[in-house]
Amino acid sequence: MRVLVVEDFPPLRDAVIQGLQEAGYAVDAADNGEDALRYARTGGHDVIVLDLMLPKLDGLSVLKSLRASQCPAHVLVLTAKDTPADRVRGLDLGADDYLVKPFVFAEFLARVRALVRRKYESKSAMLHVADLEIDPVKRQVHRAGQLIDLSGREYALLEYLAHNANRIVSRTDIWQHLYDFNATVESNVVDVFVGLLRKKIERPGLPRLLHTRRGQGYMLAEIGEDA
Amino acid sequence: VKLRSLRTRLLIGTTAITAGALIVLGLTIDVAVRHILLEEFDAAMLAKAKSLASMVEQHQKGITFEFSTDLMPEFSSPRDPEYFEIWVNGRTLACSTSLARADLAAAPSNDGMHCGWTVLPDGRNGRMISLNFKPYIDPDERSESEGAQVPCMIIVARDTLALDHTRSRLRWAAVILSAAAVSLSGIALLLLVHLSTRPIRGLTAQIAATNEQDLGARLDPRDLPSELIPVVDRLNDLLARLAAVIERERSFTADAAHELRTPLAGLRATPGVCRSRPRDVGGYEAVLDKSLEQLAALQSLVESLLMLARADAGQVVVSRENVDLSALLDECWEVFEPRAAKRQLSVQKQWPEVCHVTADRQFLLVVINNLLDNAVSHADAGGELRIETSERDHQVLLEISNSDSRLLARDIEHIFERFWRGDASRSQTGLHAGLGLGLCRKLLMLMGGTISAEKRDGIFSLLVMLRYSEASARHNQASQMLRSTSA
Repeated sequence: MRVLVVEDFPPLRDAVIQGLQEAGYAVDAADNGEDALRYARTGGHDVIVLDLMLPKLDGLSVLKSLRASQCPAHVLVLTAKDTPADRVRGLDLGADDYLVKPFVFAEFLARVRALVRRKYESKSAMLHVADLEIDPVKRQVHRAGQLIDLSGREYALLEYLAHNANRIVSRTDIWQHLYDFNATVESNVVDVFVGLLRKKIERPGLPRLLHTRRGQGYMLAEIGEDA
Repeated sequence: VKLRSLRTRLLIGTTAITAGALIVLGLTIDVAVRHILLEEFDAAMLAKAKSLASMVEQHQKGITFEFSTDLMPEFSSPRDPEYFEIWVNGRTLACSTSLARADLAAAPSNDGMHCGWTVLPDGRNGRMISLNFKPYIDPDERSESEGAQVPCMIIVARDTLALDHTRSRLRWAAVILSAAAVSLSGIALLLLVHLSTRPIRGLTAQIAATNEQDLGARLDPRDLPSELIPVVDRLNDLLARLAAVIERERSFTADAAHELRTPLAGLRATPGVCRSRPRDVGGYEAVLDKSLEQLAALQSLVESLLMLARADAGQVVVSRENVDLSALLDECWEVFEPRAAKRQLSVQKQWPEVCHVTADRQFLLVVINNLLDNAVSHADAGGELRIETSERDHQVLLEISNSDSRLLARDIEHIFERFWRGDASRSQTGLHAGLGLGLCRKLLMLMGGTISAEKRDGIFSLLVMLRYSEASARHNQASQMLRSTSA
């Protein structure tokens, strides 16, 4: 999952970036409204964490532009403004959630997770694909009741595929959602991680879940045949 | 007793004036009527006297008076009689029967006619007229007695009962009419005042409907009498000024909330993220350092806010002491020198050994620290920074200038506003909250100094005017005198 953090106060921005990265998100950051809009338009963000008082272009204007350009990302407004009028204005302009500073970091992470779930239209906190069980809170994966140990990247890939279960996901989609702007582009890095993930989740005697659709991408599904 | 109600004042005032005018008018009319009545009364008596006098004839054998009470029954009427008496040569020739034996006590005058008040024989007040005349002489007999006409005098008197009665009735009529006029004018006035004060009541309702939530509301001057329009205009001015103050307060509170909550959020998130998993000692140390740094920034922000709030509320005690500005500048600059060096600023400093000003030392310290911090932070990297003092208009001018390519000339008017944010470089939340210059201006104002800013040729300057202390003023005077004598 990829998150864009827009915040102009460096210590807070740094902490949020670190926390999100450690939680397995790919994170981009901007410290002003204009950059925020530019980054967001490159696409691929699942969640945008947006401060309202920003230099150059204020947060509400950013929000308006994002919604006008049909940006699919869910927006979590992060602000010190806490009057009901401010909240109403933010939500009416298309914010999906509102968190008033200062906040408990665990709550912030929970809200980001909830927004990701909403984006992929899943209500339950747990993700299920066949006998695969993914817990985004604990970041734990079980297959047929057995714990599978995954690296951060592997987990992020699996969660993204699980959110898009039974749908073909292209390599570009995976790249965009899992890697931030700082990561170096390597053509086969997605294939490498898919290979590593496949080794860990597929078990002999159990149905195959991670399928390759040649020329299209990958799909996490219970039934299906490799082309 | 102070009359607070305009209506009562108007009512009492107008009633008094109307009543006074009516009384004066009534008295004048009364005097005039009396005069006219007396004139008529006297004229009637004179006519009677003349008729009676024409009945006196002079013959050779003597003077005769032929009178019949049938002709003038009033002279013998038992009730309300009139009186006459005719005198010839100091003796009574004839008198009315009503007079009986009494005399009309009159000092006989020798010429013409005389009118006046008298007391009648029955004790009533009356008018009396005396007329000197020459008796009638038959033309046949005239030649014989020529030059020998005997002077006669007739006195006619009559009581004034009817006259008094008329006057009294007229007086009563006048009093009743006046009272009615006063009452009617009072009622009319009440109605008029009620109608005229309707706009005031409307205005009162408008003012009552104005509340502090609706800051845009203004009083509507339409339909108001012209006398009230200045009041409404001034009230609207006042409302506008109050609205501006309240708006400023509100945005100040909102800005202050933002400026405090954002560093607080940072301060909470930094250790919060750190605690989410175990780390090595270096990781913890880094977080502690970051947190301490943020705490220090937050503390200075809170202190600035507190100082501003106290200064606004007039809760600060400003001492006027003799402060050496030069020493203070030396002391403060030491702290900022490393930062200036790090930013590769070319620094020019110019201030005298000693420069005494009148100020509050603590406040002046805050001001200088803020100004130096501002200059060192916002000067273009590798740019210029100039700090110098000079004399202007018998005051000390402290000028702190730095090259600043980002600040626009039109921003100058905003830089003293609290929480004002210019471009991105000036808006780092929590670190430079835009309070510094506002605080400087407030503190200088309290100390009797001023601060202004200008942007010229890419150089941003802050000009601080401070008062010389008395000691240095004397010193200056002495040195000036010395210079003039040596010149």
